[in-house]
Amino acid sequence: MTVSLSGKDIARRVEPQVPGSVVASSEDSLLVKSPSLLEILAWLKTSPDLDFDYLNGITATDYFDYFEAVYLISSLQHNHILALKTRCYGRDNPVLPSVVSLWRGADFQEREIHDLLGITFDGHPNMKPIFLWEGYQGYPLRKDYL
Amino acid sequence: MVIKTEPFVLNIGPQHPSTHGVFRMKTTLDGEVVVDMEPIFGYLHRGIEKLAEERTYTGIIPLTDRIDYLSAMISNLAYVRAVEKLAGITVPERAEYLRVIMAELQRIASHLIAVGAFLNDCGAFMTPIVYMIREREKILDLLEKLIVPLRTFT
Repeated sequence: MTVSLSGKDIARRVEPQVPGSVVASSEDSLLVKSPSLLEILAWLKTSPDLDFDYLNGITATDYFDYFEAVYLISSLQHNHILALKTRCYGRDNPVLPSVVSLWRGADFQEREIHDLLGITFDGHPNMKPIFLWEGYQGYPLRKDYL
Repeated sequence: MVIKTEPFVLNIGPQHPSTHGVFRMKTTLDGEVVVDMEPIFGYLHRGIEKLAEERTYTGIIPLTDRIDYLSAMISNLAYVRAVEKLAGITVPERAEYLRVIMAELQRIASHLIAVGAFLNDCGAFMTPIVYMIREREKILDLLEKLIVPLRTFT
């Protein structure tokens, strides 16, 4: 059984590494600030007994005031999984750091979020729409699209 | 005499007899060796996430069926468990047992088709998939006793 790690435990361990970045934590997930996202994920990936070497997926939703992106990461050796969330504000040009340097699988996931929601990922090698055709107006998965 | 060669771009288009489903590959070939490839997909994107925004909690269940039409009950189970966890509903024990049995039977059915299709692609023309479908019929008979399916089991 894959153990779902408690957000509170991980928050307690992340706090000394990257101070001031954890906003909230609960049993299911952990909410962090977006500028320090890359640092936290890099630490989680390389830390010896957490060892998150597999990215299950990245999804994002549109709450009207902010966008929230959820990163599901898991460890193949220790068999545990963690959900990490981050928010980005502003509807005109929301930006989040890209995690492609840590996990190559994030490539297509981030392109999909960019395509459907309009969040740009800094540092992504090939940021272009993945399935919508060129000249498509608007971002379909936003709540105010139709 | 020196022959001048250069790589050229071949488009293995979305509809092709050898690819399963619609998937487009723009391959750069050097002779017969594939040097580079750019996959282009999204031809079968049905917009389930957007459609689900306008439906009730139970109205989304037929949408989750079509995620994997061979093992529809597994996607249903995942969705229903998520809703129950958010709403704090507990399910009677017998129902949980039934769900797990259904999910495992559907998983076996889905894997049967997977193995059959894989063997098909390996070269045995149609025999393996017919054998697998025959076994799958036994599972589908069991499931039909429980519910009457319209196109997938829900």
